[in-house]
Amino acid sequence: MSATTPPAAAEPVLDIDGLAVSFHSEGRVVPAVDGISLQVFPGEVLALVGESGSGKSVTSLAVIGLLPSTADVSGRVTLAGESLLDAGEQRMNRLRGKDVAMVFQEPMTALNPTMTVGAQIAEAITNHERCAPAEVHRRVIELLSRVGVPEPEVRAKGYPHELSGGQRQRVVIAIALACGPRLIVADEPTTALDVTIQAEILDLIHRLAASSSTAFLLVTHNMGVVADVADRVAVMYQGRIVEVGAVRDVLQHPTAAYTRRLLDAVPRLPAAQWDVIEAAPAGGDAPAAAVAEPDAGMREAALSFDHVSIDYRRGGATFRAVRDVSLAIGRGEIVGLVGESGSGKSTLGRAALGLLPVAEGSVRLLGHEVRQRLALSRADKQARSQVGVVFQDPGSSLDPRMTVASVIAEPLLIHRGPHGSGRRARTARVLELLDAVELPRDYALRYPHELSGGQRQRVGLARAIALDPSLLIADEPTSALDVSVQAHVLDALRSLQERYRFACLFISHDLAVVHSMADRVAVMLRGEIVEVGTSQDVLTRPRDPYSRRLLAAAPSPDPDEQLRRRTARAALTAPATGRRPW
Amino acid sequence: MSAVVEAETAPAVGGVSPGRRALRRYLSNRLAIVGTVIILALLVFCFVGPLLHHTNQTQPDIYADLNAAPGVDGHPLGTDDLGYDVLGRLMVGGQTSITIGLAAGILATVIGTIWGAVAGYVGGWVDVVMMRIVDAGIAIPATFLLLILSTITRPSIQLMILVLGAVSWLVPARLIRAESLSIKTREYVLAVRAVGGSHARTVVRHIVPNTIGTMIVNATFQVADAILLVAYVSFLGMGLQPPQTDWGAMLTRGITYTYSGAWWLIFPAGLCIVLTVCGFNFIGDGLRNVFDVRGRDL
Repeated sequence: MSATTPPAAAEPVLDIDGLAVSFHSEGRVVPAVDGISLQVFPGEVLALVGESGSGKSVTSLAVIGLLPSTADVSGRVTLAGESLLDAGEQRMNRLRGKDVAMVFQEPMTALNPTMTVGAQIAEAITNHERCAPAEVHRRVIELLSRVGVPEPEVRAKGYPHELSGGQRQRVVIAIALACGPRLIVADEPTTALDVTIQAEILDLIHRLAASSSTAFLLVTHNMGVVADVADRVAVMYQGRIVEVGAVRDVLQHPTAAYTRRLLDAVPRLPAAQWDVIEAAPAGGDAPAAAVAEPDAGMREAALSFDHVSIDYRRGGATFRAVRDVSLAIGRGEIVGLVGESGSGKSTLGRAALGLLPVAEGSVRLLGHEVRQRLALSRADKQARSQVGVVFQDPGSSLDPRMTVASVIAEPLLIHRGPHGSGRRARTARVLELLDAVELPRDYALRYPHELSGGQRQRVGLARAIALDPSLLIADEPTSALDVSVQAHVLDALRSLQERYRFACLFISHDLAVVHSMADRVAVMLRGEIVEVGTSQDVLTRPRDPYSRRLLAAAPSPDPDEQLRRRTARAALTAPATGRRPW
Repeated sequence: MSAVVEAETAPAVGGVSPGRRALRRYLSNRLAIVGTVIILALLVFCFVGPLLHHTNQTQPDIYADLNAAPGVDGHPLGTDDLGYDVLGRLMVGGQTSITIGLAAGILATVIGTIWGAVAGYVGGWVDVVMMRIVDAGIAIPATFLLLILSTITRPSIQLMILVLGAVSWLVPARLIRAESLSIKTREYVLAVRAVGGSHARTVVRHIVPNTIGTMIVNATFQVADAILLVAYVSFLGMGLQPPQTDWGAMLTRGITYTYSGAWWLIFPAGLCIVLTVCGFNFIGDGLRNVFDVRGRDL
């Protein structure tokens, strides 16, 4: 970490010189990487950041020689003095896994589900070395304990599905480490993981890089991840590197205009009051007090959950996804719901939409009880016309066979209200909505695949507010988008909310995004709400131990704040109270 | 801030409509072009041909030579055992074969799509019951069913279409159900449900249109299958009643005289069946390419 400048004397492990990659398909040539030069030195973590389409993943694939056959590559890539682009497929195969290893994004698909964990690590060793079985076994156990998998002897005999997501990624890293490579290329290694797990994996990478001469080329879109583990950072934009430098310099004093814009777009949490948090005993304030709901607002609530429990049934087994949750959202209020995957936050959102049956308690929408029904009564339909919904994936939330205009007009057709009567009124309303979400009017006749991700999400927003709802449920509305696009969609949502004053249940795993949107925040853990309060309170000095860990794990693009979080994280996990039940 | 928007450029649409692009992709498949040409040529041959090559195909020509070789007496493909001109008969037989094949294929696709979409969308025990009916149907050989029917009743074109349609909707039903199961969990379907859209709207407007790729590709194979099935049944002598005929029936009659070397009674009809089935299959393959890539670059 001390290495803010590369050791000039050392030979670079990886030397990329004028690398250009383009893809040819259907007679067209699409450039992906446009002549970049980059060096990675032994023992350093170099982060390659950029938004989707910037060419960062293509660069990483070029390094390990796994580009598809439609790619044309030129330039030079040298690994420890050997040119990789000139190496034949056979030579590359010998290098891959031995001198350069890869860690992929999704640990579940990177591991073979039918092989034991130990066998997969052993395979990586025996692919490149002749080794006695006993020796291989010893090294497998050593690798597993090195990446921090508990009970390595037992785990080595287990299968990938018996491990948690974080442990799987540790195993993938162990495979990469197996032959002591000079360079590990990690392509978004923590993107598929929850924040608290992400923090653990980043700690591991940090430790590995510090304790050995293995270099890491870390491809990521997350500035917080960069601030956390990288020594140097290269920012990519449209196939070029716009800025390279030490992390602290680049993140705090960016010189390239693009880097500055990118950093401006990243939502930030205010500095947490770690002194206050660490001074207070963990869970000192009774959590009951924190969860207590101001009862006065109940009657006026746009949406209220009253001791709601929701079950999932599969093959006779029942799983309680949401347990005794009470929460009210006042009119015109934005309430953020945060938690990790599987915490039940999306389930709660779907129950509010009447898409899931409620096992116990009641969900009330403007005082009208919401239930999942086979056929909707007139009153149910009336109530539903008061809710809009925005989903996570702009690719799948719009029907690919409908034009933008018919997507937006659909709620108007279903509820023949003031806007729905007559084709002309509907068309006028659609155009008005397109204006409201700042999309050109001629987009009305386009199909969703002719729009970019951010534009699609704006169409989703327009559909959600088509009926002028009093409540909007936004389920991870920006987590599939790039940061700069996210900033624009959030701006659009914010200005719409100011204009139409609808209440909003804003579901997200990103604390900084929630902080920038919500008036109040509820934190969910395993189906229960562990803390509710104003955004400022919950996100700067959380009281519940879980909220604290969540906050400490949230990566911040500010290296100083990130360092503070790292120490707070160490302090919070030290008592080992919050260990996940593997 | 506004400059960052440029970072995210919308996919280029530059004047090329999705339909155009699909057509281009279809035409880039050489076999699909061959299939299209074959089918168009056969259609012209069967439906326009009789206008140019006048023959009497309702009453046998009692003065004509029976089983005359090609070229004799102005019969380009000779005559059959009743004195019908074989070329003319091929056209008329083709009309029935293609009509029955197309109509039955379309009928099967329509029934199968509706059945499968509803079963997949509703799910639960409704799905179980509906799909067990399909399983049971598949267990009964269609040829067997057709033979029984033709012994009971006198087959007409309409009846053949109905029966063939009724036995061949099972496979599309299965395919569409699988598709429907995955589409109903997509967020755009949830979005319709969330604003209170009815089940009928969800199925008709969102689920069925999104299965169109599977639907159309399967339909082409259904048509080919139906034409073959007609040929089987006719070949076994249980098809349409004379003087109506189709390619399968022509084969049956002709096969009796193969030992006397009358190749012109079976080769042309057999070739037509093979060409039609291949043609429709090629078209199906081409269409599959068109619809498969949708996810990749559209």
